Amino acid sequence: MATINDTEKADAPRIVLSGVGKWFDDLCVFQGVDLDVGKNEIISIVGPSGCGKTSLLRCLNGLLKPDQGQVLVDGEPVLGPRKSIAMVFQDFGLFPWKTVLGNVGYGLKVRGVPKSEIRDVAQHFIKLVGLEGREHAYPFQLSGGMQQRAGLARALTVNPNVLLMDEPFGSLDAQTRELLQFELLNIWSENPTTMVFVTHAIEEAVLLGDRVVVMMGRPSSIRTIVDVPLPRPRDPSTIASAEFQQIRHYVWELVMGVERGRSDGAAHVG
Amino acid sequence: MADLTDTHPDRAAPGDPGPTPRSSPEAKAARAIGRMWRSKSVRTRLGTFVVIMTAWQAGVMMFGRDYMATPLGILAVAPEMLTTDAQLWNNTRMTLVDVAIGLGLGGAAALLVGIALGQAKTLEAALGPYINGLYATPMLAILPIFTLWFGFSEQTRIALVIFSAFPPLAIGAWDGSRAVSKRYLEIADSFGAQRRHVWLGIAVPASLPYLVAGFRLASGRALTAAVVVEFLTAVDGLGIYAMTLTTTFRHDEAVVAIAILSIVGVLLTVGVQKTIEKFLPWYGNM
Repeated sequence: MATINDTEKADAPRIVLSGVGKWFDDLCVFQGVDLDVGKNEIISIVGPSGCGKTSLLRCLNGLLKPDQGQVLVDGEPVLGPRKSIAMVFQDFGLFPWKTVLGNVGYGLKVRGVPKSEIRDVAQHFIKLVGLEGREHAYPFQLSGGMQQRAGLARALTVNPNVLLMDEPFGSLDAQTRELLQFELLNIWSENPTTMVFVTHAIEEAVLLGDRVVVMMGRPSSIRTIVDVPLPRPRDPSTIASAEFQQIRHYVWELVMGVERGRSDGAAHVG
Repeated sequence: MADLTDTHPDRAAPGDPGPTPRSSPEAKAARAIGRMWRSKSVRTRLGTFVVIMTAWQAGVMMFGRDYMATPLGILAVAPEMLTTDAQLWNNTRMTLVDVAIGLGLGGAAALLVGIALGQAKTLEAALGPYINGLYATPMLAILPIFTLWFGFSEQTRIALVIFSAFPPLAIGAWDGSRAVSKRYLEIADSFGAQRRHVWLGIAVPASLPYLVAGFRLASGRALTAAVVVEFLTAVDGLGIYAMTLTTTFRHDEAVVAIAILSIVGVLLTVGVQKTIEKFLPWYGNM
């Protein structure tokens, strides 16, 4: 069944958000969010604190139910957590009582995968994120960067169609953060998947994303979607390029609320 | 010693005998004792101990040697009792085996019930008041019913130990699993974890500090329950043994028996704490 659907929908978007809105009690967080995300596309979402970026991500994951509109992943509405969707959390979200191996293997364990297979798969991704040798360490024995490597490995073990990143590097120091951004890009190019990356760091959003979604307003909605036509693979030299700096500045102005003419040529406005 | 002092002149404070060779175990012990002696809290404790023991010894000798144990008396009988009194150890074993059985059974039941109560709102609404009621019920009030059911027997002792140990542990597990951070539940949820994964894989480890606190209360109550049953039903054990010693005016011996109960109580709580810290290094780093 899956193969037929796959050939049929080769060009169909992985994620379709149509008219999605979310209320907390009487407070509308965001509304009217329309967005298509293609297969193996990386979408960055930026916006000021409290604009509902994280809530939108939780709607994508099925942890929250949207009050308006519909979230489709692979053509099917997301009604609850799904096997094909994995999330990386801002505060790493590791269980303090599990070792790196136990944490990384968690997603497979709750799926009933046999123990020996869990160990092999977990080991593979532990190696991929550069945590080899620390399999038996507990989270409290690891630095923040290493903890998030484990969080990323855990999400990757379940071979997700959609990888949701909730400000994953937000609580790391600047150097670790930069290091992990490029490692994430490397990992993605080896294991491409659709990724929605929520951040409030504009540079990060531009560096990672194929498109950058800017959310604004109260209640917020998508203000602009900025194309990032920078070539891949992206590396530290990408940041130095004039084009990158131009796009970064353009997004920065949008987020900071600097009004510009719609016909601005720095990037395409979708 | 003189050459060492010469090679480390800065270490030889005036009046200091000088550093002793590092390798010697006697020197190590001497240094440890020195360190302890310099610690104010150790001196305070030792001083208090000496004052209390002296007052106790003097007071009893002055006012009624026949009615109370003395520190020197206890010291005199303890070694022989502990090494040759088969009855003492027999009774200790009987009491402790039943305490262990009761704590085990009561604890396992409490863990299940408590975790379930904290995780399932309906169950909490249905059973919560009874658990609280059980906790508040004086265990002695239940004893006549147990003797009616089980007679003056060891089963009665086990039953009362279970009854005493269950509520504090159940309430600990209940509070703990109710307080499980939403964060952990969300992570589990995001990976599609089933309820059984959440109960065993998250609620139990996340509520461990509550369980430890509950166990501390439960183990004290369990020992009390065992001794009470022995007093009131004359079932053999350490409690009734201590009582017999007292009623035959062997006060010093009675204190030795009672001290075993106290030490077991302390060992139970400290032992659990230390075991957890050794085997679950994340405990305390949650």
